[in-house]
Amino acid sequence: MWRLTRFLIGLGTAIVPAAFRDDWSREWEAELWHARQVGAGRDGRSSIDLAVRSCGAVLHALWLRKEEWSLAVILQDVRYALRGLRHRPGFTSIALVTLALGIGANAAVFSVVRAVLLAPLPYRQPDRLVQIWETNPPRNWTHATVAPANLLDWRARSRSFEGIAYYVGSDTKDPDLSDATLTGAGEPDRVRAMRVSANFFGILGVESALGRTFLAAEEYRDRSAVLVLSDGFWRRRCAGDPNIIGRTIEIDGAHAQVIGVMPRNFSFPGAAADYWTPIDYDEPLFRSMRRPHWFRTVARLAPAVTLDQAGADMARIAGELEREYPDTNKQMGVGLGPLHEWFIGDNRRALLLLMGAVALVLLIACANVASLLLARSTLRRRELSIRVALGAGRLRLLRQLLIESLILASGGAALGVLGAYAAVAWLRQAAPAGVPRLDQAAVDGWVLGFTAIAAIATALVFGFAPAWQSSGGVSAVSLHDGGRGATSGSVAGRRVLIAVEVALSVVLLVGAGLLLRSFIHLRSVPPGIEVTGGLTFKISLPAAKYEDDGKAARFFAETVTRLQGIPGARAAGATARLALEGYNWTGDLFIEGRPDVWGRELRHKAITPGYLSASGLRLIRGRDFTSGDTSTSEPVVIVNQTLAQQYFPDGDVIGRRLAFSRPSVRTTWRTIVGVAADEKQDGLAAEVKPEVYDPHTQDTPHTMSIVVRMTGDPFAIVPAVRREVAAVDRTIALYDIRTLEQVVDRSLAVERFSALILTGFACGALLLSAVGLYGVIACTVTARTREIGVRLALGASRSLVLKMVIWDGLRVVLAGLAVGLLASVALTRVAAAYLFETRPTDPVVLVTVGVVLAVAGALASALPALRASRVDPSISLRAE
Amino acid sequence: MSGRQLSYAAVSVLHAIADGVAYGFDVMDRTELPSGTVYPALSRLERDGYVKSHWEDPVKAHGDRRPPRRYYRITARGSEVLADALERFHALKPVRAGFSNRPVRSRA
Repeated sequence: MWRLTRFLIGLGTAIVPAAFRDDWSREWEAELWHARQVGAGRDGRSSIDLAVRSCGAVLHALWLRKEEWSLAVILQDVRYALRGLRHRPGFTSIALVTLALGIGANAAVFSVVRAVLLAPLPYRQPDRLVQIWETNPPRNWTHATVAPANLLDWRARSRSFEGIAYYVGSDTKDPDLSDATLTGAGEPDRVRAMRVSANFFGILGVESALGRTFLAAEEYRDRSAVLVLSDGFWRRRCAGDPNIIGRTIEIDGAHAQVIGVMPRNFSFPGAAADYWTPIDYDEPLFRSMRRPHWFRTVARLAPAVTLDQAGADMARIAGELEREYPDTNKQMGVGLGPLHEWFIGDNRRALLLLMGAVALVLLIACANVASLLLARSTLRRRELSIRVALGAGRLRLLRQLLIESLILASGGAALGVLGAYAAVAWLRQAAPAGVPRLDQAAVDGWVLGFTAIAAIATALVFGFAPAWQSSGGVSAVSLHDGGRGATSGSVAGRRVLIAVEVALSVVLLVGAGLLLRSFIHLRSVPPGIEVTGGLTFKISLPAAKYEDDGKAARFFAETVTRLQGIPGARAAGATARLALEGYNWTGDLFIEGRPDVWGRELRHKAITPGYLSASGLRLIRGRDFTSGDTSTSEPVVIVNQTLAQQYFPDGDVIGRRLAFSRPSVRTTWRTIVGVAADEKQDGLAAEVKPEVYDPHTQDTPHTMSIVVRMTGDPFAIVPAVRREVAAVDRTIALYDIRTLEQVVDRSLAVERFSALILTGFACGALLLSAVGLYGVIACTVTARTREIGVRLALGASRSLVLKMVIWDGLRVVLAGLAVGLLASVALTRVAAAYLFETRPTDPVVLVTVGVVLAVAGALASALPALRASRVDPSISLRAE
Repeated sequence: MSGRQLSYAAVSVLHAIADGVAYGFDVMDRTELPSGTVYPALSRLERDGYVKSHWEDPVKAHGDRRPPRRYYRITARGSEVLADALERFHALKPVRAGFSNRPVRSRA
């Protein structure tokens, strides 16, 4: 039975935590001894009694083991860790700032990813909403806008949807908002309307906050003009008037009745609309139009219908329409996909790349802090030895060290979240247009949760290896070496960490370098127009007042003439679309006497006389439009150089005639009177497409961009411009007032933004790596002071020591550089789609990154190297 | 005061120590509680500062040719907590016979 007692005591010894083991075992041994020796005679304690009592020893040991993980003891560790961190403010602040940068950047980018990619659309059952579009392989239409008559046939014949709503769309995925002018009381103000079908809100499953949304009877023109206001517009322009329903508002000189106000959180991606209004089309006309395409759709899948079933249903309808209307619907197909996917589009890949880049920054921050902790652990050997001597086991030390890491990571995360608030506010402002729902990015509960997880993961990543190493090699014996000297293992570990950091930084630097170089290439592409000294602004004529095309044309002609007369103005003109802003509409192209030619997707743009010279577009041949080109004179056009070269390679252009529909007896032939130099249409990277300029008197738009060319600061002329426009019609508002330089800049917004962000990340990474390298080399120099002293005493020159230490650092950098460059070549291929005239293996970028890192490495090593070369051999040897 | 959260067993152990019982096994005998209850209770009381443990003078113990024993004493705080707890337990009926009505002596 005594054996059982011994076994139980042995078991307890194995269980009890090291910190309590000594006292525990002495107490139990002593009590058992007494019970056996003394108690046996007095109380007659049997060996069975002793064995029973020993069971309590195991329970006691278990209780003590549990106690080690009690909140009180953990709090003790936390207090201890906080005290330690407070006593090393230098280490603590560097670690905190490093982690705050890494975690904060991740939180900020995640808040964008969450808003754009992850958050469900704020509608009822958003996963049942789809976008339907038209396709036409011969015309290269992959996601085309929809023709009204086709749309109405889809509605009537499809069996897969609860309903199909539509809105005025564009070739980009964003809705095409109509510009209008808020007239009536006060200054005229530009407002933006989204034109939608009556069931638009119903299909989305949202209700108005005040009043109602549209009724089916209000879908077309000539019914009562009704508006649904956005919350922002209602608060800003109507002072949040709760009795607004039923009132009328004067827009574009016409009265419209407010029937509803949408809730504050309602928005449609890509469309910051002030109000919604029905599509404003004559119903019979709308039902007959199968050729022009300008609608986008939102449909809700019927219950239990899958996307594939709906696709098959729509393909059937497209086939029927192709048979019924071969003239307009030849090879016209239908595509459909989830609405959320539709809006995310290409942004998914870009955002994931951004998330990848920012994760690399966090990894670099982790490597840096891990390296700092390793450095610190060698200095802490004495402290840890004392704890071991006092009975702390490895697990306990590991926990203590990990608690420190968690505290650092939490502090970094807290600072990082503060930074993320600022960064998200900046991102929302600075990010280019066209990223849907970016305006909804915010540091919310999801982002805080993500940050918390990131902080814990970060603490484990940077804390575990140093903690494992520190807790492992320590014994009470380490007390004797005075806690000096870095162990070779930890220095080697730190070198590996720094090399990893350098490699990660190389990947980021190469990525940033490629984007920058691509951006520089792109920036140097001539836009065609002359940007210097050009001012532009937009004017949108109110439909009610300028229903007559002639009146609108006269307005623009008179305005342009007046602007040309402003002192300092060298030229003025107007265009339906500025360079780099796409095109107005497209049509077919037929050339008189050339039945073999059938051009598709020919671009059209209406301009006034003077536009070409105001934009600095050279007239290569022929003449500009004049005031003699009117709606009743001979139809004329000017073509761009690309069209002239593509269709008239012999150069015989002037006087030839074009038509935009299949030639018949009723065809209007238009005479080419001039050839203008190309202007970029879809962006600097895109090649110029054939384009036709129509005189604004023969193809009258109601919204035009006016361009004024002048000497000196373009903005100086703005007051005079306002005066002249008001002299023609004082109810007209100017908007989008910009220089032509800003027009070019805006077209590069995405590229500039990506290059800027990635360069920021890369610079941060470079800085972190340099600081990390400096730390390691400085620590190595401290550890090697004696060795360096011996070398100097034995006659080594100071320059040799300098070289030796710098080389020590450079070796690490070069190793990281080699790995990083290899990784970059493999990884940057995914970025190829974002590069313009730049190969992912661009030698200039790779070499520059190499040089930058080598210089940074040499600089980071130079300071400790200088210190090493100044070591006084006598002092360093005496110190031993 | 956290003394109000003391379990019945912990109060018994504290009471025994206040009564002058110094060693773990003796506390078991006095309280008739099993060792698996007494020892964790002792450790918890010590952690919370209600009792304090000491080791006998090893020289003296070795002189008696026996291992030194660990003995426990109640602290001032422990006495307060015990008084509170006793009052609480006395208010309940029936009062357990094992409790003494003598005033508690503080030895700390």
